[in-house]
This record gives sequence, C-alpha cells and structure tokens, in this order.
Amino acid sequence: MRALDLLAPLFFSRPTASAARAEEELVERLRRGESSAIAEVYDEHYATVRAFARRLTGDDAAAEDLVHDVFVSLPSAAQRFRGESSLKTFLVSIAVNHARHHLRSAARRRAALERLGREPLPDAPNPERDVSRAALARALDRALDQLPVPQRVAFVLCEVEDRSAREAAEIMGVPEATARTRLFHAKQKLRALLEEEESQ
Amino acid sequence: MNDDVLRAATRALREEADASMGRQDETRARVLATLKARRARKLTAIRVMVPLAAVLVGSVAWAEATHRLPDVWYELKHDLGFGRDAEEAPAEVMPNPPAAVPVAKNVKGAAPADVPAEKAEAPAEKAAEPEVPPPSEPQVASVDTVGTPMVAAPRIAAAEPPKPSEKAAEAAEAPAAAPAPRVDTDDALYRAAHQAHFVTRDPAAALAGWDAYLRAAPRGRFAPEAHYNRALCLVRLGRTAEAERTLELFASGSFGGYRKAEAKALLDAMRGPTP
Repeated sequence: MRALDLLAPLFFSRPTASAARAEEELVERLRRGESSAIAEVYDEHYATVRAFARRLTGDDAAAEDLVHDVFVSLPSAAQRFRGESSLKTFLVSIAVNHARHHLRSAARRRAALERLGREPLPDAPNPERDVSRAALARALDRALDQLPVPQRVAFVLCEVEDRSAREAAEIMGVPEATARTRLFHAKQKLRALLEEEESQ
Repeated sequence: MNDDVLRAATRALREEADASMGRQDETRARVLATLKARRARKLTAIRVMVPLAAVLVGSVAWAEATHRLPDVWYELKHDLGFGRDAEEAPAEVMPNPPAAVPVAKNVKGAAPADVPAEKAEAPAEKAAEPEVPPPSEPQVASVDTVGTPMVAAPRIAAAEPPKPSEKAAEAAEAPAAAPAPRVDTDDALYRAAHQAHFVTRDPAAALAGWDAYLRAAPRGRFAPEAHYNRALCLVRLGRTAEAERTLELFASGSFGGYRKAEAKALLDAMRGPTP
C-alpha cells in the first residue's frame, strides 16, 4: 500500500505535467500573436466563454460581441498571464474586464425592445412553461441591469454559473471577502427588485 | 418566498442561456479577420513610420553637423550640458599652425611673414575685414555685399568695457583653472579674444585668444565666428597658408552660409586675379 502511494505520483502526475507544459507552449504562441494558437484556444474554450457571456449579458448578440473582443484581445492579454489560474479561468476574467461596454449595449437593446413590445417569444413543445421561464429570466435580466457591474458579475459567477467564491474572486481579481460582499449585496438588491416587479 | 423567486429566476436565466444557440463559426471568422486586419495595420504603420523616422533622424543629424539648426538648439544643448564630452576634448578642427609657415608664392595680396602686420592687413581690410565687430550669432548674420556685411555688434562685446591685452593673454593662458561654471569660462575667453582682436587690435594676442576659446568650446555658440576671426589674425600675421586653409572651409560652405561670401572675396584678394 505504501509502495503504491509512492509510485502513484509517477503514474498520475505525468499527464498533468505534460498538459501544463502544452498550455505553457500554447500561451507562448499566443503571446507571439500566432493565429493558429488563437484559433486553437477559440475552438477549445468558445463554449465556456460564450456561456458566461450570454449569462452575464442576457443577450445573444452582445454575448457574441463579447466573445469576439475576448479572443481579439487575447494576444495582448496573454502577456500578463502568469499561469496561476487555468487558461479557461483567465479567458473568463478577460470577459469580465471587457463586459462593461457590452452590458450597457445589451441593457439598451433590452429596454428598446420592451418599449416596442417586440420581445421574441420562444417556440417550443411546452409553450406555457417556456413562456413563464422566459418571463422569469427576462425579469432577472432587467433586475441585473440595475446592479453595478461588479455585483452583477459576482452574482452571475456564483449563482448562475455555480462557481465558488474563491474562483469568482480569482476571476474578478479581488479578495474572496470582497467577492462574498458583492454577492450578498447583489442578492439583496435582486430580491427587492424582483419583489417590486412581482407586486406591479 | 423571495429566495424561491430569485432561485427560480436564476434557474430560468441559466436555462435560457443554455438554450440559446451560439454562432461559433461566424464569430470565429470575425475574430480571425479582425486579428488579420490589425496585423496588416501594424505592418503598414511600421513600413511608413520607420522610413519617416530614419529620414527625420538623418536630417537632424546632418543639420546639426553642418550648423543649420536654429541657434536656440545649440544654446539649449549647451545649457543642458549635452555634447560637453566633445567640448572637453582638445580642438581638432583647427590644428595649431607650425612655427614657421612658408608663404605661398601665388599670394599677391598677402604679405610674407617678415612684412609688418599693417601691410599684411591690407587684403583683409580691402576685401572682407569689417571695422565693426563680427556678429555674435553667426546664423543670424546677413551679408549685404561682399565687403560690407550687415551685422550687429555682439551683445557681449557691447556690454563689456575695453580691457588691456595682457588680460586677454592671461585669460587665454588659464581657461580651465577657473572655478566658475563652464559657460562663464567660455564667455570670458570669447570676450578676451574679442577685446584683443577688435579693441587693442593685437593679432598675436587675438590669435592666442581665439585658440584658447576654440580649445575650451570647439562647438560653442561662437565657434564659427572664432574660426573666421582666427583666420583674419593669421592673415594679419602673414601666415597666409594657414589662413587660406581655414578660409577655404568657409568658402566651401562647411559653416553653411556664414561668412561664405567674405571668405571667397578674401581668398580671391589673397590669390590675386587668375590668369
């Protein structure tokens, strides 16, 4: 048993070490601005970045724009990548840094659509359930639009994406306690806003 | 109750986001096109900016070497202490003449070495040597005709009362020993040389004065003027071969347009009419 404990790192650490080395090489290529490296990272991490962008902005077009900005700025952002987090986490942190402008434009678009009464309704096999779900999601989006960006990011990372406070803090580049405080205030405000909307 | 609503809304938001279809290929193409365009812009900027920068640097270096930049440039450079190292080195521009200089046979206007100084002064006065002091700012000086340059008296010379030639010689002997700042030392040397040249009219003392000034500030503000006045002193002392060498530099435009016409006229007068 003891021998197995001693031998285990030899067998199990190799793939991790080689993966880390491969990521280092990839990051090095990103720093040089190689298109093939950017394409490689894009293919691997598009789904993650896009899902976060969509959940954060609540808008398909804004999410795609945010994804575009993240990967376009990747060569310059890679210069400050120190390997302390995974590349996936680093990409989400870039998205957080670029989110402000896209959040504003998504909120504007949402407000304009609501004014025009042209909110698209989903066509699905269970329309009733889907309509109520979409209405709930839109209500939360509207409430999120009224939060400060840091609180909104904290809420999406911790509650919608189910990340830990430590991970959210790493992505936002703040202490864990700050992330928890932001989440607390975000939830408090959202509750109040949703209650207000429900009463109307 | 609110917690339930918030939780349900969060779940709904997550499901809505997951249900939305991404445009992966479209965005990928956009990303790569943007990166390509950015790289092309960068390359274009390099292709334009590098030659422009090279031309600019080359032009400035050439203008600096040929003293074509505005005086304020040299003054600023001098005040800031740039190029001090060059000034510390001994003046190589005008090497000291040998003790006995043979007089060129074709020099008709200039007197040989044993001729009195008054006679040797003749071509200089006839052609170019003005009675007024030379300009203090060489680049500003404008020449009306060959023999009568339209120049203003140097400010330094006008402000200074006349001093005896011994003082000039003393100042010329010990330029570096003075504890005063470098600029003051240079100015003192210039004033001493100017005094000996234009006030006491002692060519030997003036020559020593100009040499001392040029040793102290080979690229100083008044260096071109000092070289020219030094050549006049050489003419007066009968050392025409050395004088010609210096005047040739002015006539060929090595100092820009400064004293070009006077130097040409003086050289013509020294050499006499060409057959």
